Formats: sequence, structure tokens, C-alpha cells
Amino acid sequence: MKILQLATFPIVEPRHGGQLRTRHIYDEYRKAGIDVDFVGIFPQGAYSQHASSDLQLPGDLAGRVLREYEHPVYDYIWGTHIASLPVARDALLARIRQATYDFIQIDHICAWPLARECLSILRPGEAKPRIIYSAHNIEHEMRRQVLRELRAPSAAIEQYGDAVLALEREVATRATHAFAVSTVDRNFINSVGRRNDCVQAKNGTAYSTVPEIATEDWRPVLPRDPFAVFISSGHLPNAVGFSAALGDSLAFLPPDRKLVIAGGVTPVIERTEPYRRWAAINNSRTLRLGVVDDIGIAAMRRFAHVFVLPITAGGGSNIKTAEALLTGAHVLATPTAFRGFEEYIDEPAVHVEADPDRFRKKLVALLEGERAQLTEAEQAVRKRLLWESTLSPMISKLLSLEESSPNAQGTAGLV
Amino acid sequence: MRKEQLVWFDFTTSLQWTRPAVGIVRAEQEICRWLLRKLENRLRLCVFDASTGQFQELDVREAWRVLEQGWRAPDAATAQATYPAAAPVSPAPSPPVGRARRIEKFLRKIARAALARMPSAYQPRTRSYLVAAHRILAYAYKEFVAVRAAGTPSPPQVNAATPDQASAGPAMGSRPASFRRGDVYITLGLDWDYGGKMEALYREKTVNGLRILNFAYDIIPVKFPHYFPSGKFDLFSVYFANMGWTADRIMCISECTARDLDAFLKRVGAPRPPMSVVRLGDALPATEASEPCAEIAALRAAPFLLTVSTIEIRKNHESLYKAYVELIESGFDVPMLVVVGMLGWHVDDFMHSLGNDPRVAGKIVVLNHVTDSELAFLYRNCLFTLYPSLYEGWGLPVAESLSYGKFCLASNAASIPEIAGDIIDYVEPWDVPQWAAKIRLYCSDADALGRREETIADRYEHTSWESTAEQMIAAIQSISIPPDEDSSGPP
Repeated sequence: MKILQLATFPIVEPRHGGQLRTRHIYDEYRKAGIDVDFVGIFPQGAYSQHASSDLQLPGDLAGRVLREYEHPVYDYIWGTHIASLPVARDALLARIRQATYDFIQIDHICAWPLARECLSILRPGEAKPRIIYSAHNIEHEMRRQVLRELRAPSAAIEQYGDAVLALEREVATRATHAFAVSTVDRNFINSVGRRNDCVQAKNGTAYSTVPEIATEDWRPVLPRDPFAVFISSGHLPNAVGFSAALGDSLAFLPPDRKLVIAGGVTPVIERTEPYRRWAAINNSRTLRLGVVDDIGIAAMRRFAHVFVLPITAGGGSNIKTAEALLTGAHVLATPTAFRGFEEYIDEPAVHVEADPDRFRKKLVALLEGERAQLTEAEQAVRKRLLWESTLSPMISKLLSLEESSPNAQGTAGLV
Repeated sequence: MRKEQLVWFDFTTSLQWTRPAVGIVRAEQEICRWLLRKLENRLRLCVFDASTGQFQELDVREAWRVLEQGWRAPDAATAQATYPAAAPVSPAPSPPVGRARRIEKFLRKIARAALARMPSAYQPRTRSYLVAAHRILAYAYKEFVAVRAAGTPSPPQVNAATPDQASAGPAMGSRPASFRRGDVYITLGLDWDYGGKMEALYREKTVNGLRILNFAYDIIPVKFPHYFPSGKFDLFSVYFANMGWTADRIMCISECTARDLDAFLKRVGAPRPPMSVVRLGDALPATEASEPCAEIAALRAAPFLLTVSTIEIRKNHESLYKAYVELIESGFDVPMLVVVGMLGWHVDDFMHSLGNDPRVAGKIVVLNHVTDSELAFLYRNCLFTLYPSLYEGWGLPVAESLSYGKFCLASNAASIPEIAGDIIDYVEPWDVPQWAAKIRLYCSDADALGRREETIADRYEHTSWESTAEQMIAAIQSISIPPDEDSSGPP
């Protein structure tokens, strides 16, 4: 079986959730003996780290200027724009024709318009790969939420929401196999794709490969007293959740307890109006690190007292939840952050609070209490969060397919 | 209170203060003086060392040396006859002039220019570093001058009136303050200027079980940041948020401040400790009967009105200026207005108007280097006083005016009506026609003014610093751990 994974980002040195999931799918496929290639399609200069096989395409939109509220749907606008560019089609077609792929796996919905164009160009008789829809999220819902947060005109919210939903419906309908990260997402894909075979493969995590000794250099950087950590990408819903769950003032934290904010979300939070309102108080209660390397992340996982997951918006499931659970430290989260990980809500050292006031009180109590200590049995439960476990339904599904029909191959007429 | 539970008084601000005492410094020193007398050997003194984040114990004799600087033995007869509860004080020493002052002014200028060129995000923290550096340098200079003048460092003289307290104190020299569980700590100083102090206090509270009594004068820099230079909002919002965590009780100088602080702590989600209101002493320092300078002495020749406060936008001198213009243009022969106060901030345009408006030339005069004895002279000889402030945590000049038996036409804003209730007359601070009307009334109707002065004489009650200290002692007792709740275990 030969699969070509497509996404709108590279998977070299993955940082955000989409990259991580796609990279681990790639790795798990290879471990299972599946022949897989990956092509990231993204605007020139968008990512500093990428593979030579990735496609960097012009990032401009043929002179179109984005409105302020359109930034969260830039990938959709760009993805549909490049689908009409001969240079993009030719480049991807060349990759598709290089090998005889059984499947093209769509790991980001915005890669679909270009893939669809390429597949439509394939001549009759040419091997035509079938489609795997690897959904990471219910994209149209998330886009609507973000656009609403940005106070976009309701017509624009409707326009882009409907357009992304149309893509999701099309792929869900046309895919031979579909995978989703949560029960809610699976039900959505089954519904819009008029199918009942979508397989749930949860998000997961992996043990850090950074040796403990390397994290010692971070000890003096991190707060001396027990501290909480919020690590997240610059995805706008993450900052929205921060304000919603923690409020505009962090004065509820004692003077000697800090919240470490790391990742791309740091500058996004700093720029929000709620954070700026009491900036001095908030700065006095936080250590704001921005994007940190793997060693820094490993150090925070090792030394943090509490992992905070104040997610109140967005779809899919939160990879940071899995990462936090695997550390064995206290995890304080909103119910939304546990979407896809509901079975862990009653585990020890897991605290889920929907009410912002209770969320804050709980955070103070946890920071003033003892560090969590999991038993071996409890740690064993958390190992179910490793990617090799969470992605096994995908692998099983594909391998069973190969066993039942080892020469399954699409033709141009099927797509 | 258990005998072994000590009361620690934070003396940091007084120890580092290098200029004539301002209100906060005076409050700290007056209350310290009375607590030393009333709590005897249960009182310990400490100072915060920002460089180490530690509290050091201060020898009681060193504190007395500071308290006695500029003070001299009370002339009981004079003091009691005039201001019964006030500790007498010599005229404040003139600020040093000469090379050191010129260097200081030059460095200030450079620092201001450098700050103005910095990105605004870095300004508040840099400003606080500069303030700390200035205090350290000023203190070092003062010590250097003292040592040079004395030849060799000399031990402070033990105050004859307080031998017990002095001998009960620890040995000379600084050592870490050994706070014990249940000890009570009091601070009244400029704590927002000492980086890391509130965090250190919180640690002492949580680790060593120290009971903490904080003091709040006002939260105006947070409530009305536009009245202050940039950076004050950030500085004070963090300071008060931390106070919510450190304090077992907060003493506020007015109901207004207590309300404001409680509302702020609620708004930012910090803890809201119990609060109580303490009335500050209003007895003025008894001064030597020295003659004022010729310029001030000459004012006695004609009736004049007086307004005392820093000249800054919040004090709202502009309403008085406009009221004066209105009166003058109406043809009313208004007495001269004497404005006493240091120049503050956000008043450049106002000062330009005052200096260049021909209508008020000779009618409004600004004095900004007035000694305590000269101020007393002005209070004694003025017709009445004016206080148009837009917002206050208390309003000391109103109380001072009343303690001299002088009527004050005051703003009705914030805490000001708490000082004297219906004894005096109030005006909405921005209501210029009302200011003009009431100034006209009390300048032209001697009976009306006389009736006000009689009411003040009959009904205004002075507050002694001793009484303020007694209120503090009650607050100390309210946060002390009862003996049956104490234990030898960790907090």
C-alpha cells in the first residue's frame, strides 16, 4: 500500500497540533510497513523548517488584499486560489505521477482543492489514487467561532463557514476511508459524508526524547516556587480560552505563584485587550516565554506543578491535553479541553472546571498543594495516550483493507 | 496579645528619607514614636533590604536618632497650649544646595531624557530602578556627609525620655529580622517603591506565620491614572493587588479609601482582607517662633486667601484661577490668593496661564519653598483657606486649616467631607461659578465667616497622633493570634 499525505504545512520539526498529528501518522504508517510519502503545500517563507520534497508556492493572492478578519481563513482562500494556478497543479501532479499511490490522504481540508484539481486532470488509464480523509477538526465550526471573535460581518461568517463546510462535505463524501479525532467529529463526518464507517483515532502524545540532564539548564529560568504552565500555539481560540477561563486579571494568583505561558500563544495573549487591561498585574503573575525549543518544553513538563488547559473554543481535540496527562502533573482544564479524552476526566490529578471562578480557585489550591504523584498503575493508564496506541485504529483499518484486497487500486473513473 | 508575640514596625521609609518629611513620612514617624512609648519592649523595628529581599532588624537607638533629627525636646507649655498632641519640631532643614544638588539635578535631567527615549513598555520598570538607585545614592551621600562632619562615626544618642525602649532594643548593628509565628508586622511607608518587598512579605506570612497590618492612603493612581505620570498605574495596581494577599488587615485613612480599595481588590480578583479606618493626627508640628521671610511677612499687610497642596492637575487649582478671573472681571475686589506647594505634574499650561494672564497679575502668588514655620504663619494670618481637589484619600490641608481655627471652603469630592462633616462649606470641584460665589460670600460677609469659625472652634475635634497610635494598637490586637489558637507547629 502506498499513500501520499497532503497538508498545508511541513512536518519537519512539528510544533502545532496539526503538524504533530500528521507527523505521527506518517511515522506510525512507516512503522506498520505502509509506504508513505508526505508533501506539505504552503506559501513561500511560511515555515523555516521543511523538507526538500515540500511544495512552496507563491503566498500572494494575485493582488487580493486580505481584510483584517480574513486572516483566520487565509489558508482556505489561499488553498482555493492555488488550485487554479498551473504552477501548483503541475508541481503536485508531478509528485502524484512519480509513484503509483493507492491513496492520497488529506490531512488538512485546505489541501483538498488543489488535490481535487490534480485528480481531475489525470487521464483515463492513469492510476488514480483514492482518498483518505484524515480530519483533525470540524473546520467550518472553528472558522465560524474565530470569525465571530474577530467581529467579522455576519455575511462573511456565513460565507466562509459554508464554503469550508462544503469542502468538508465533499471530502467526507468522496473519501474511501475517513478518520476523526473524537466521537463528535466522527459523527459529523458520518453525517455530512452520508456514511457510517468513519473511524475514531484520538490524538496522542509521545515521551520526550530530551534527556533529563539537558533540562537542568532551564531550572533557573523557571520559577522557583510551584508554577503552572500553559503551552499552546498562536491559534486564536487558545488566547480566547485563556481570557475566558482565567479572566482579565491574574491577581487571583498569590504573589509567589506564577503561570508560565509558552508557545506561539504568548504574543497573542499579550496583545489581547483583556490581558492589556491589567498588564502590570498579569505580567507580575506570569513568565511569558514565547516559542521555546524541545528542551524548554521538556523542562516545563518535568518541573511544572500544574498544566492549565483553558480551552473554550475551537473544534477537534487538544493534543496539549494528551501531553499534559502524560506528565503525571496536575491537569486543570475546561470541559472543552477534554474533548476526545473524556475517559481520563475521572483519573487522579485531573481537574475539570467549567465555571471560570471555580477554575481560578482550583488553580490557586493546586499551586498551594502538593505535586501530584501517580502510582505505577495510574501511569500505565496514561500510556494509552501514546500515539502508537491512539493511532492504532487507523493502522488496523488500513492493514485489514490490504489483507482483504491486496491489489486494491483505483482508476480515474472512480474519482 | 501574648507577651512573646512581638510587633515589628517597618522603618524603611524613614531610614532612607533624605528630605523634609512629607505626609506619609510624618505619619510613619509620629506613629512609630507613639508605638515605641506604648508598646515598650514588645516593639521591634525592621527595614527591608531590596538588594537581598530580606528584612533586617534595626536598632531602636538608630530609629530614635532618625526620629530626633530635626526635632528637639518639647517645649511642653508652648506645645500644649497650641497643639496638644503634636510632637514639636524644629523648622525643617533647608534642602542642601551646592555641588551635590547641582549634580543631582543634572543626573535627573539625563535620566528623564533617557526614559523619554525608551520604549514605553520598559519605562515603568526602569523608572522604579532609577528611583531605588536615587534613594540609595541619597542615603549614601547623607551618611558620607554625616561621617565627614563628625570625623568618625558615632553611636546614636539614646533619647533621654525613652531609656527603657532604647535599652530594651537589640544590640547595635543590623541582623536578619527574626520574625516568629504570630508576630505582628506594621508598615506605613512607601512600600511600592521597594521592588520585591510585598512578595517578601507574603513569603514571611506564608512561611513564618507573620501577621501583617498594611496601610492604605489612597488608590488614586489606579482609579485616576491620568492625574499621574505614566507608569504609576502599573506600579500601584500591582502593589495593591499584592496588598490583598499580604494583609491580615488593612488600615485605611478614610472610608473613601477603604471603599475604593475594596472595590479595586474585588475587580481584579485579589483577596479582600478586613479593613478599618484610622484617623490620622492633624496636630501640626509646633515650630520655633521664627520670623518668616520678608516676602511672606509682607502678606500680612492685607487680607489673603490660602490654598496648600502640591500644584498638580488633581489638586484642581485651575478652578480657583477661573473663579478668580470671574470675580475680577465682575469688578469684585477679591483678596490675594496665596498658593503654597511644590510644582507637580500635568500643570505646564496652567502655570503658563497663571504667569501670563494680566487679569490675575498681583492677585495670585505661588510660593513653593515654604518652611513649616512660614506655613504656620500663613495659616494664622489668612482670611480662610480653599481646597478644590478633584480627589483625595484624606485631605490633610483641610484638617490643618481647621486645627488653626480657619474656615476652609473645600471640594466635596471623595474623602474630603469625612474630615469635618457639616462644619465647613463645600463646592463641587469643577463648579467655577459656585467657587466664585462662595469666595465672594466669605470675603464680603464677615458675619458668615465668623459664624463658621465659631462652629469650628466649638465642634472640630483635633486628632492627636497618640490617638492614631491607639487605633493602630487596637488593629494590632485584632489580628493577633489568641493564645489558645497558637501552637508551636509550623503555620
